[in-house]
Amino acid sequence: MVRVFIGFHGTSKASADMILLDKRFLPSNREDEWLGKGIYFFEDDPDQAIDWCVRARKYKEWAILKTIIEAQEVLDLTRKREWDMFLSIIKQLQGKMKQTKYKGKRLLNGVAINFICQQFPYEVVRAVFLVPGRSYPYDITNIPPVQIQICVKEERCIKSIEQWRCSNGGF
Amino acid sequence: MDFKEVVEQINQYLAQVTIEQFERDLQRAGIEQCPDIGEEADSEWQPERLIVEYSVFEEPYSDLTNGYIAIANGEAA
Repeated sequence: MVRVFIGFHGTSKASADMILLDKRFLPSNREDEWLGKGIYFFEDDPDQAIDWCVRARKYKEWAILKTIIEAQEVLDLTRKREWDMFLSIIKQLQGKMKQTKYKGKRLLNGVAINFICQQFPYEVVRAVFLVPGRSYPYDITNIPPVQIQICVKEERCIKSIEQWRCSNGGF
Repeated sequence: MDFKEVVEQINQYLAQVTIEQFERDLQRAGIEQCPDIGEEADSEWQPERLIVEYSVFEEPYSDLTNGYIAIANGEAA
């Protein structure tokens, strides 16, 4: 079954111009990325992408790109069954790591996902995170601020790219 | 793809793989950039910095006001 997602990617205006010109994204290769190597989007929520540009990256000039993503092989960690199994894999990897020279290392999510994707051809990984750097009145509500992130592993899944908004107010 | 199949295949892999090969596969996945155990992540924008405390009493779904999730960034109780 093909699943379709609308993803918003925040970046500097200069990078956005390059992406629009080349009609392709450059995947992140940092190993400490939240969901491993790939191209990152906030699902259905451009304001999260703006927040990322302004608060996290502190870009003076930024742009938000809107994309349509289609994928068949999705590792969806918002689903209970997949999350439970993901946890089971992490525990097993951690157990085996104790026998290696990496026994002192903390296994980050992104590395565990890279490992899984080495074994299986997932095209997209999807997960929910609490919004970083924001506290909330948990004595008033138990609903935390969250964001859904999508990491596209296979560039062919990105079907369209357009500029959604930029820092000077343009579209 | 059935995620259960993925787990089974990884179980099988872990049962059979040599330590040397496992270390190479971990390296390919980026293990060397992971912090050491006990080390802090270097940015508040890393999910590892979000210390999540989920406190529930007997039945998590019976009374949701008993549950809270706090981002323990110094402000959480």
